[in-house]
Amino acid sequence: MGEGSLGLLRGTLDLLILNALSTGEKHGYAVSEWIEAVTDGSLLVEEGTLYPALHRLEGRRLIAATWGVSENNRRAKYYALTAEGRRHLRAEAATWRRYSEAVDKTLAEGGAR
Amino acid sequence: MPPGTGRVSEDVDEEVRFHLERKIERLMREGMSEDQARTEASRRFGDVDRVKARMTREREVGMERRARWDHLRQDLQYALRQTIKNPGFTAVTVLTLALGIGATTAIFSVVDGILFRPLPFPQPEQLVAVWTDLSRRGGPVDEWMNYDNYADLEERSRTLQAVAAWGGGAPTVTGHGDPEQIVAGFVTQSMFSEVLRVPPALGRGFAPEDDRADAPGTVLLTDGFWRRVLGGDPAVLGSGLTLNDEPYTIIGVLPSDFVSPFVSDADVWMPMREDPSDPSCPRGNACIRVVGRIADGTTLEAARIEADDIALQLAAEYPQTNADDGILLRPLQEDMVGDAQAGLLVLMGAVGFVLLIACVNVANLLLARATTRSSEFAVRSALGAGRKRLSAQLLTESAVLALLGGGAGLLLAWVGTDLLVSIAPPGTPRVDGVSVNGRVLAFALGATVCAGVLFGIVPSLRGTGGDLDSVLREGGRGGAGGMRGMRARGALVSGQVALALMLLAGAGLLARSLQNLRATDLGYRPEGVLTLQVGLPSARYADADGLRTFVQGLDERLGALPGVSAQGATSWLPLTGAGTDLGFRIEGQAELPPGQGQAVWFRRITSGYPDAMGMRLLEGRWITRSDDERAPLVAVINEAFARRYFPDESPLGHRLNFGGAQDPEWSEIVGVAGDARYFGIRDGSRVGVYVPYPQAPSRVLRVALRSTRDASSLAVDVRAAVTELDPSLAVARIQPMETIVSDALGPERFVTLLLGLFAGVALLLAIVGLYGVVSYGVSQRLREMGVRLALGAEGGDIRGLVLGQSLRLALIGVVVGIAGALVVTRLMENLLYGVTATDPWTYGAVALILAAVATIASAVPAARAARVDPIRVLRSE
Repeated sequence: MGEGSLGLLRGTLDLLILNALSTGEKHGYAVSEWIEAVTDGSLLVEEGTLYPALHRLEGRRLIAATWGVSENNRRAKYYALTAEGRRHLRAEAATWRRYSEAVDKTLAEGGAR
Repeated sequence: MPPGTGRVSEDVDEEVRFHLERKIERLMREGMSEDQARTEASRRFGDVDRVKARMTREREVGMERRARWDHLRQDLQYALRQTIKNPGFTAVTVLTLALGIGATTAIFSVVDGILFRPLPFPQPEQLVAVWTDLSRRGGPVDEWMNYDNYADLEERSRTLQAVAAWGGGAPTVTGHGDPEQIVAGFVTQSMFSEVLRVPPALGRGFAPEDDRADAPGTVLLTDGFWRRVLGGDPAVLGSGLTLNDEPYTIIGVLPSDFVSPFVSDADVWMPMREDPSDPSCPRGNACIRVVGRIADGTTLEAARIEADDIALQLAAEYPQTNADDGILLRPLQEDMVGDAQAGLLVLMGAVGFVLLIACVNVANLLLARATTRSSEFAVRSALGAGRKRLSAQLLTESAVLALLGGGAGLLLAWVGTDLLVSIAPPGTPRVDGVSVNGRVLAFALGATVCAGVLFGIVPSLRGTGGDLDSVLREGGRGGAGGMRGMRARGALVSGQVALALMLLAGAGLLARSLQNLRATDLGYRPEGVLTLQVGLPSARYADADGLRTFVQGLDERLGALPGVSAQGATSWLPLTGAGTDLGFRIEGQAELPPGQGQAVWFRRITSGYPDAMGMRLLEGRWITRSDDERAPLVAVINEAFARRYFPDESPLGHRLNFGGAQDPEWSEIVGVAGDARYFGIRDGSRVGVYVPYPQAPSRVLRVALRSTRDASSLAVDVRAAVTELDPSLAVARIQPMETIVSDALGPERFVTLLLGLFAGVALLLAIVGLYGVVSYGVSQRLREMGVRLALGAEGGDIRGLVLGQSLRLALIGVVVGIAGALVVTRLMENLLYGVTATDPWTYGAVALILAAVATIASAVPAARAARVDPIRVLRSE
């Protein structure tokens, strides 16, 4: 992993994917581009890991998949959030915020400052 | 290979290819050559094969997961359909579960709450009741104590960290509305602070100086009395309360949840204020009761050894009074439950039986159903349903039934517990605060549900074990497996009948005992007798003359009331309390060695009392009006006394002395009265004596009136008569003598009722089991019946065949049950009265009942079998 880009914490990939899909249905490649664009490349996602994650989320019915036709007229698999996926995203995002705030606060105190 | 794997890998390939192509296009747009772009895209993607493998696995997991949910949904729908489609089966199963779970939980909760729930005090296991053990001189092991021995024990014992004495009284409160007789507990000062460790909710507890003989009177209120009489006003602390015309200072209020282990109906508590140098209850007497707390880190055994040692020291130091006396320590909890224990333990056994019967029934029902459905399962398994899939479906069905039955059982447990608590006889120890026991509920639920699941699943899976051919060829009749199942169910039904018979036999024996107790000749006739109690405070009735005058005045007024045919007073009515036993000597009989004194119960009576109570005279005369304080002392002994001490001669003319060697006063025996049940209806023959009230007046009077009038209108007149004599006196415990007698049988009635209820439940469940098996057997053999009928058998033959087979099952159950009952009922021998545990009449009646019920339960399916239309049955094959 390159200097200046961050590895992913466990479990955060799901959150990123769900968030990527919250603006509308996307195929896997579009999800990877969205993450790259939004984070300015500072989060390093090995693109391949995206796909098992998409399938896992599909298995848990947080997202639903349909085969469609892409912008350049090729067959592509599109993913969209289900109602449950949307609920899950909201809950996870809130948890994540609380968690990161708490970590921030502790870091502001101890020797890590 | 899981279904659809080929499609999955194609999808995965296509998805990954799409990604890589788009990436390469983009990288090339950004200026890379095609080769560079291909390398970079693949680098960024990672190991393609590994990604694909993981994608495939995620897909599979997801699909399995979906399949599981779909199956569960299907199973649930199917189970609900089954439940609704077979309302009879569902109702019987749910009812069985509900009775099994609900009834057992309710009864066990009550028993557990009374017997095993720890006392509500800190470290309750340290609390012990202390008794004088008179067994070495032929007396009871648990006689009351006296103040001197108590004080010595307190001083010498190291294994008991604290000891306290208690007693009860009935003072009259004045100054708060009408005078009222209340219940007071008397304790030595360490009772609440060190023994029970109950701090007051308000104010302070008793201090050592409150307990000195010359201390000003102090009183601790119970929460109930404080609220009822004083309006729950905290300002009463430090103010006065007049009890028996004497002033007491209110020093505190006990917590609202405090339930005393003794004198549990006490309104107030007072210090004993005994003078250790001149106690009112000296050595040689039995008039107080003692409780101790074992020291931390000490065992009951160690405390018992030390108590034995102290008893020996006292016997050596005071041979006149203490020779051969022991000191007995008994855990307080066990001590409180006392007589209730035997009956409750029998009930516990019954709980186990009913639970067992319920389990057997559930098992039987599901077993029968599983067998009828074995062809369904064989077909489904032939169509590709796996064993796992089938058992999952059965499990779901059982769970739905269990949920319904468990819910109903839960409800029944709650309602039943409350009901039992409300019908518990007055004075049942610790019945307040009994609630549904969660552990028992869980156990009963678990046991019945496990039985259902086990018996519902196992046989049907055995049916699916590949032997499809034979199952189908049998035309869905179960074949050999069915026969095997039939035999198993038969055994279960016989077992059920046996268990039900054992319970019925137990209930029958108890019912016969109760009947015998009710029919017992009490030695008095309680019908038409009204009783009441009056306490005369020492402040105004200081001497014997005052007492005598009052009693005479009361006697005259009560005798003048319309409808009263006889009236009298006594120190203690039958079945209301122990009173005090007295030591005595018989003139002319050899002086007994010290410490081996004999004791007699002792009742002061007025001349009208024997008539009012309807007592019998066997010899001589009763006490009369002329046996007053100026006349020579006389006594009437009871039958047991005469039998024991005058076996060969008439006791009349002999003289008794109740005062010890120096007492010059001798009472002449002028009559012998028939034995009367004074201490319990079972207990008839203790040595007792009646003396004239005027010759030995006492402060608490119990009055008996025989009349033909309605009790409540008579009570009004009696109250008025007492008030006329002394307006500050309270009349307490107005109740018919019949109520007293009936209350004395309360525990017996309660246990009999509960066991009877249980036996009824067991009988019901056994009938359901028998009916289920017989009617199932008939439905399985319709074709056989049809063939028999076609070949010329009569309907009566068929009916006889079915009845014979089911009665054989019942008969096996009856025989096994009688054998079991003969063993089990021996455990309840000491609950029985006037009937032996092997009473042939009870056993005969119970066997007959079961046979009759079994016949009725089989008659319906037998009739159905006889009505079979052979043509239709045979054609349907």
